[in-house]
Amino acid sequence: MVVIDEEENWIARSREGDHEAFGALVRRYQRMIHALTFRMTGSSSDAEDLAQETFFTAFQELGGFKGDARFSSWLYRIATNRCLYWLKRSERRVRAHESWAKEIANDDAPEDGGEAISKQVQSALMKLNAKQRAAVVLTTFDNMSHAEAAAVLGCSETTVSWRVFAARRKLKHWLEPVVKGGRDD
Amino acid sequence: MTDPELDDLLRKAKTPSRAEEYWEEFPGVVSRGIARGEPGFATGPRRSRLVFATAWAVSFATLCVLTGFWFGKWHKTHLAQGDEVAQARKLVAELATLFPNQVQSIVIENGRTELHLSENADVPRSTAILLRICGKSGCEKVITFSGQQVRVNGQPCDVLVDSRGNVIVAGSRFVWSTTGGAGNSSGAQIHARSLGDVL
Repeated sequence: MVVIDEEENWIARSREGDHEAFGALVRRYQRMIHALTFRMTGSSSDAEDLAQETFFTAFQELGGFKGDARFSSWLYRIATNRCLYWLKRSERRVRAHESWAKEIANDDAPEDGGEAISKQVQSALMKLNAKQRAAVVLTTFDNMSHAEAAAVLGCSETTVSWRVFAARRKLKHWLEPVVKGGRDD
Repeated sequence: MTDPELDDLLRKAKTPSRAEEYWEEFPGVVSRGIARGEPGFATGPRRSRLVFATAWAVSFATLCVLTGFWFGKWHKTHLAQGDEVAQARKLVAELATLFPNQVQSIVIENGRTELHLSENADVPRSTAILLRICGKSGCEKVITFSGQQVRVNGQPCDVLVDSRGNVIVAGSRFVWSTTGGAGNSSGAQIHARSLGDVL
């Protein structure tokens, strides 16, 4: 397949230190990684920093990429680990996001319906613990199977299934008013 | 809320949009960061590795220091034991010259030396033994000969050395041996060492 061959070529050249080839890889996956890091952190600026760190780490560790998994999955793994590590070392920032989420929920300012839903969903995601959030982001937003998410998170498929189940139960509870509001409209 | 409703709602949530220029510049930002080896980047795993390496180095250094101390102490004790044996041999040899066939035992307690002599020169030549006995009244060092008697917690005991150099201390109620095969109900801690044929 042309796309894969092209990607393999970029990877091979990047391994040899070709920044231009690595730039092509970054261009292909930057939006995907930014979306993941934003959903994990709830902050645009932190998402940007973590996306940069993800690609920087990927470049450094490209020699360890054996090609037995897809490059995107390998990249997801790095990004998710960076986010989990970031959340672990910055509990204060997590608390700040939680208070931000509360503020958003009480915000009466008029805004676009889609934007309001996005904020409410992000607020609900931020209330989940980091590992459950990662499981939901990978399986629901990035359409990974539980087995693929397990490979990215470095845990068993059963653990992913349990985290997804627990997270979705909470999300249903927290987002019920949003759906009801939509039905009433 | 049903599962499809939740999926639908979650997928409606968009991430913040960024200007097209941002996406055009981002790969360049990453490349420049890589080229500079920017310190702000990827500090996590490197820091973890650094912390791990430091912790390992500190642990290893601590282990080396502790091993050094332990070896030093062991060596000192070993030397002290060697000295103790040499001094005991010298003492026995000198006293035996002064009192031929009369020395039954030499007791050293709290820096005080007590010489037990037989009235007659009837103590047979036999293997000399160094005993350290710690009982109710403290510790004492006794130099004696196989076949002689010493007191352990006030109880008279025979001290014997077998052909292999093993020391046996036998009281009326207990038997102690360097091989550890016999039970010790004397209530005292005994350490013994054969000094060989000193005389």
